[in-house]
Amino acid sequence: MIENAIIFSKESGEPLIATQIGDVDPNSDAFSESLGQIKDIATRLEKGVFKLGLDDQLIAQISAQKGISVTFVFKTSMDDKLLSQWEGVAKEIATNFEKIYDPNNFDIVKISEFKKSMLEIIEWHKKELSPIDKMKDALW
Amino acid sequence: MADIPQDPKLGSIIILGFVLVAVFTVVTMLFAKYLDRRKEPALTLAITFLFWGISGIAVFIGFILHYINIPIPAGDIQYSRYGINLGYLFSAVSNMFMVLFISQIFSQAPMFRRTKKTIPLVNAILNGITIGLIINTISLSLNAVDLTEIYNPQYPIAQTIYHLLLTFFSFTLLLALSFKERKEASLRWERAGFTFIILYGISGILIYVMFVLDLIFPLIWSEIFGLGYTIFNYLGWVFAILMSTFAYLGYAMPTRIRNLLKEPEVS
Repeated sequence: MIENAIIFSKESGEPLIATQIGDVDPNSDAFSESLGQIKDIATRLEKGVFKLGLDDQLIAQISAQKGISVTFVFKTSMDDKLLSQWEGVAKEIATNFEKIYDPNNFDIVKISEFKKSMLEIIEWHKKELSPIDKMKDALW
Repeated sequence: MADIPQDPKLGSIIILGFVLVAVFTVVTMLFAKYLDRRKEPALTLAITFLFWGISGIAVFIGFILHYINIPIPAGDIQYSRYGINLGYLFSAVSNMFMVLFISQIFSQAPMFRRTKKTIPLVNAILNGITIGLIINTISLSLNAVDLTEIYNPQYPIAQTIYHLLLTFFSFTLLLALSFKERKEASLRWERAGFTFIILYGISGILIYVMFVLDLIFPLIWSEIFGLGYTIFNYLGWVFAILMSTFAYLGYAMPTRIRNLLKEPEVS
């Protein structure tokens, strides 16, 4: 499942939000090398989605929009179909974040409030099955 | 002064009979799915179709009683009008459950995450207005003094269009979300499932469009369409049969159909 989520500013190259969701802490020393690899892509990727294998255990899905990129780190056991479902979540988070983020006026309160709503979005997505899975579960 | 309804045609009653067979086949399949799996969306969808079927039964009984009592003069019970009004009433109840079903299946969608159950709740209230209007119309008809109004509940065009708009909203919501999900589906039979659901939604909208046209066209071009039921009434019921068929394929999706749609296995 999803391990952590990181939002990078392309301009500064710094992670604006880095939060642990599963077992892997994005701020830990053990993850620092992976974070460097993610940063390299996340700050250079202009637009779209890039999948980056970090090691045998982890894969990063980096989704870039104008000034920012949203990265989700998953266990490699996650199948492609589920990964593509998370692309939509990353896009929604990126779009919402761009509405509150001003690189010239960094507002820590707004960022921490956004972190809460981002976690809500992620938790909801984890909790609710996709429509295809719900159809299979109930009807198909 | 109210108008007296046109006599229902035998052809229309027969087609409606086929509609009922089709709808209750779907209802039976959906309740069987629910009893088998005990999942809430299956129950909600089964109730949606059950109320739509009851709506069809109300119209069917109204038409039959009207047909066997022809001619029905002013002042006597206008059975078809009661049937049609009750039909719209139960259709509104069906509409409430349909949006609830959509919110259960597509719960991952941002609009349902943000609003939780607000959309089905507001939709239920709006459909409740339809139900209130119909109950009012029926109760007025039972206490009317005018000979043409007693036992003759009207169904004004504005009310029919209001119901059409609510139906249009629920089916369009289903269509939009199903189109999106169809793109996400990776297997052929999953894509086919959503295609059938999309076709079900389109047929569902066309039923009510036909019924509105059946009311409007005779008013605009009475010399062409006459004053009775028009071809659009028949077409409405034909779309109801199509809707049930696509619902059977898209929701119930029997194993045989699914196996037919599966990609051939690579050996």
